[in-house]
Amino acid sequence: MDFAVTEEFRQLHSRIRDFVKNTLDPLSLQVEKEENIPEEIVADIRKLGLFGMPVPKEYGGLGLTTVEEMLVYEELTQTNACYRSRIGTSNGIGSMGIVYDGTEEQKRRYLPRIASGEWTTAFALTEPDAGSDAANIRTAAVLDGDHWVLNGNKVFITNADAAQLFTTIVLTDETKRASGGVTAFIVEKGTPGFSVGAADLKMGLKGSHTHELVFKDCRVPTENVIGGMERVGQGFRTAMKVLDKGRLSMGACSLGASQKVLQLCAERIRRKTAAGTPKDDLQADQFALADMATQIYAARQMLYHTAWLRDQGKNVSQQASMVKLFCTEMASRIADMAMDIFEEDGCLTENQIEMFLRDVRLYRIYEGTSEIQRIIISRELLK
Amino acid sequence: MIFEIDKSQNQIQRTARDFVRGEFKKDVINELVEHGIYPEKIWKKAAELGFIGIHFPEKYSGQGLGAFENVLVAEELCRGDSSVGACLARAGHGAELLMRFGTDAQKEAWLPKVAEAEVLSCSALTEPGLGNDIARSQTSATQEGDDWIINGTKTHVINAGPRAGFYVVLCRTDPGTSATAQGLSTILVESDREGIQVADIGKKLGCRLMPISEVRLHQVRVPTDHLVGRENRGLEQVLACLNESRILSAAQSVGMAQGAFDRSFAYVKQREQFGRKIIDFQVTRQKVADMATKIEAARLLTYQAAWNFDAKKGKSDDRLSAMAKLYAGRSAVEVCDEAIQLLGGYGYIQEYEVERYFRDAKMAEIFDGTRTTQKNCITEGLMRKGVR
Repeated sequence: MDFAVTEEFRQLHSRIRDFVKNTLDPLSLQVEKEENIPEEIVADIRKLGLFGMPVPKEYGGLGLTTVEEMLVYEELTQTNACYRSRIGTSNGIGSMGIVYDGTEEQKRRYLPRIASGEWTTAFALTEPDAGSDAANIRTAAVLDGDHWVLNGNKVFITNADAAQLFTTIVLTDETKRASGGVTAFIVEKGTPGFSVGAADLKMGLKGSHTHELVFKDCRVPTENVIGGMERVGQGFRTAMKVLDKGRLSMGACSLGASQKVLQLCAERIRRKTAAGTPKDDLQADQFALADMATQIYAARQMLYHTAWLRDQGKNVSQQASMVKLFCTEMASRIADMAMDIFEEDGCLTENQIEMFLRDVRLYRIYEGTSEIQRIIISRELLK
Repeated sequence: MIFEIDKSQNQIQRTARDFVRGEFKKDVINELVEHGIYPEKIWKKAAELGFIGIHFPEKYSGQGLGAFENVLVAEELCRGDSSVGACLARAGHGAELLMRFGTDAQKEAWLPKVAEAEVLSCSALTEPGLGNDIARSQTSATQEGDDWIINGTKTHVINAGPRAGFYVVLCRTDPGTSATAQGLSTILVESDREGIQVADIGKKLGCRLMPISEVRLHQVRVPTDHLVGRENRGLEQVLACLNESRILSAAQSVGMAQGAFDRSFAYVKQREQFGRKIIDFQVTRQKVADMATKIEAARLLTYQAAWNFDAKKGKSDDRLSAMAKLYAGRSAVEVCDEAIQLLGGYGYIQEYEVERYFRDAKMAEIFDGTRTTQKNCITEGLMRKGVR
């Protein structure tokens, strides 16, 4: 095993660390309050090239390895989670369908714009009746000449307001469903019959918006089938591949958030000591801190080990589920423990702990709930 | 041992349930939640029905009932809605200090107003950076002629602001005792006294309808007869009252857990995924069973603590109240968290309410002493009194 990264990446990593510390984190509470990331920050993110992390260099991206990408997410999540959501959802699930299965022409047409950050992408799979049961989608497409006509609704679509391109998973054969009846489409913003609904009011990730998408006789050209017409019916596999990596990213986000919470807790305990709280009254806090750090250490090993395996070309489907399950559950547990250390002060948004508690709660739900991860893991074990 | 509430308690419980059904309208509450508005009308109506200060003596507009009846009402109200319920259950927050230690004049002046929902009651205990360690309070009260002059800053004061009638402020009255449990006194300060400034402490995790603020006191002057109870015995008095308010907090938690359970149980019975109802998956059934078991255990412990409080009068077992708060508080957080999970993506959406129940339940667990503080109390009690 070798997690060593290149000198070039090391420099990028340190630029990102500074960017988080000096630019993103100072605005964290403002983003939380205004429920929006300022446009000039998005411009800075573009300049750093962060919208093209996994996009191959030949298409204008950074072509990062999985290990490198996870290292970036770990840094980016040591502040308000919305920044990562703005960047990562586009990088991750939004554009990966094209990176994996797109035709050469699609790659050349879309990836450079995505990598530069000119275009934001979103991933549209979930529907009102197809949450965990993703194969149960109803949004359907029928072929009409050189167009597919889409009808249906998608819900909880992250970055829908900012996105120009939607990787949309649609039913093309009711009888085959997940095994040959689902197709992945590229739907561009402004396509007639396509519209974005109102933003959802959520528990957390206030500065990152999710919306409903409505397809009403939405005509998408046949050339927008990801991978071309020969990949009609292969969309479910594309979607699952996309989610595999998304699961690792969720692990990295949970790790970053937990690391930040740990740091805030350590500062808090030091401040209590300095203010005169006797050491004897802080033993429970100290033990909680030790438990947090131990879990974070374990999470870090499993995340980077799995990312490294993936970079070696191994199928990490089961391990990715384990990473998502363990890390996201850990993040909630750690934020919960932190609330005890911060006492009433933890309830104030200003002290950030409650924000982390609300934000990381989503990680156990989206891109496959903890229950879905357990299904995947046990299914592999009992094969 | 009879595990049954009596007829009149049953009547109170039913009245509270009817009140929730009639007054807790989803659209009205959504409006309040969206803008963080105090549930003024519901508060007034709750008072008309006698739900506020139910445990105050009748001569002070209460119903002369006990902690147990107060628990039954708080549970129903918080089950109906965690945020509105918390406001109503806490409308008399800190009034116990007056009820138990105040002079007749203090009680006459304020308890009826609290029970009739004319004002909210506040206790101002902790200070910035102090957390649960209120023994180290620095806010000072010095005697000058016939007055106390109070200076300092209190924070996380529930009910502070325009509806507050008074603050019972924990002050250091013996300056020789800085940072210790001795030398503290509780003093009644009317909210319209000069030198009081209520400062917003920003957005909170939950209980967003309930005002919780910082209260700054600068050269605030009140007559010496505003001392509540005995001089330099303030902390003792506060702890005695915390004993009672912890039972109430536990009741809120039980209600919130039940409310989140109601909502998620209804959801899993109708929601279909993978071709069947979610409730038909074994894992869902196990989760539901765990949730219901936790709620039932929390309820029993809370009822026991309340019963003990009423039966033993002043000599109740404070270990039980701490255990009730510890267990019910934790159970509610766990149950509400699981409720979110059962609703999946919808659990994260405000409209489905369980995320708000979770946030409110987490506040209930933290306020009036965290888990760490409850455990400290329990063990201190065990050391002092031995195991039962």
